[in-house]
Amino acid sequence: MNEATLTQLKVLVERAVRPLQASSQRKQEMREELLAHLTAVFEEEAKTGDEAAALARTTQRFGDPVELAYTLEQAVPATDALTRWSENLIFAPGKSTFTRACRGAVAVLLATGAFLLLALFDCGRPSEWSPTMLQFCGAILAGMATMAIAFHVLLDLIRRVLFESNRRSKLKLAAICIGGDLLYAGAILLPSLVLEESIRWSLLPAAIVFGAAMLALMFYLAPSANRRLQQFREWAVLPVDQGMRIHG
Amino acid sequence: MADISGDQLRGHLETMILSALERGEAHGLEILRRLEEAGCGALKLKEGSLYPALYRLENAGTIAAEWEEETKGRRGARRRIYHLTRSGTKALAKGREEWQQFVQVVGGILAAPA
Repeated sequence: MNEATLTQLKVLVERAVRPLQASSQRKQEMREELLAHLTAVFEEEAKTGDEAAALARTTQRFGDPVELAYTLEQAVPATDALTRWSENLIFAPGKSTFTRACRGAVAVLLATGAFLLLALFDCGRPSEWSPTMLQFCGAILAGMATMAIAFHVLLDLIRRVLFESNRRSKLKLAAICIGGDLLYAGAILLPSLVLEESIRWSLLPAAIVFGAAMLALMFYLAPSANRRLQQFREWAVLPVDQGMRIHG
Repeated sequence: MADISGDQLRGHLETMILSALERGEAHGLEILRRLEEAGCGALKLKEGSLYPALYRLENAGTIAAEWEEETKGRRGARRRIYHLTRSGTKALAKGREEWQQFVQVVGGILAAPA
C-alpha cells in the first residue's frame, strides 16, 4: 500500500471520527481500530485487483463515514463530556499556548471566585466586607491566575525541551525548574504581602515545595501532552470537511 | 436467498455479535467474517457499522477488548481483540430466548393461512 492510499483510508476514518464529541483518547483508539480494519480490508481486496479498484471496494464495504459518525456518537458514553472538557482545558492540542493559558486562567478564576464569594457571604453582607478582605481576595485571584498561566507556559516549555529539541538541554530544564518554582512561590506569598504589607517568609519553604510539586506534575504530563500534539498533527492535516459537526 | 441488510438487522446485530464471539475472541474483521459465514452470504452489513455496536456492547460490559500487542507482520495500526464477558454470556442466552419467542409468535402469525 502506498502513502497516497493510506492517506485516503485515513481520511475515511477521520470523516467518521473527527466530528465526535468524545475524549481525545477514545477518538484516537477509534481511529487506530478503524484504520486497522480498513488497511486489512484493502489488502484483502488488493489481492484480486488493482489498487484503485481495491480502494473503491474498501470504501464501499466500509459504508458512509457521515452515517457512521452519527452511530459512533451514540456509542460515546456521557462521561466523555467531562473528560473532553478537562482535556480541552489542559491539552487543547490545536490551540496556541496563549489561548490554553487564558482558558485555564478563566476556569481557575471562575472556580476560585465562586469559592471566595461563598467565603465572603459567610462573613457577612457585602456592605460589611472590608477593603482588606477584598484586597486579600483580589491577591488570591491574581495568584491563582498567575499559577494557571504559568502552568500552561511551563508545561509547553518542558514538552519542547524534552521532545522537540535536538538534544535535551539540562541547562534549559534547570532554568525552567528554578524560574517556575520561584514563580509559584511568589504566587503563594502574594496574598500575605497584601494582607500584612510584608512577606511572611515562614511560608516560603511550603511555597517552594508546592512549586516543586507543580513542576513534577508538569514533567508527568509532558509526555502525554506531546503524544496528543503528535496525534493531532498526524490527523488534523487530513483534508476532511470541517463544517461537519455532531451535537448530541 | 434475498440479502439481509442494515435496517432488517437493527436490534439484532448486538446479539449476533455476542454469538460470533461465543466461538472465541476476535477482532472486528474476524467478527464480520464469522457473521457472514453464519449468514450464508445473505448478510449485507456496512462494515463500519459493526464498530458502534461493539462500543455499545463494551460500554454495557457484555464484551471486553484488549489491543493486540504487535501487528504480527501486518502493516499499519494495531487491532482490538474482543471477547465475551460473563455478563455477555448471560446477555446472549437472554437474547436467544427472546429471539426464539419472537420467531414463535411472529412465525405463528405469518404462517397461519388467511
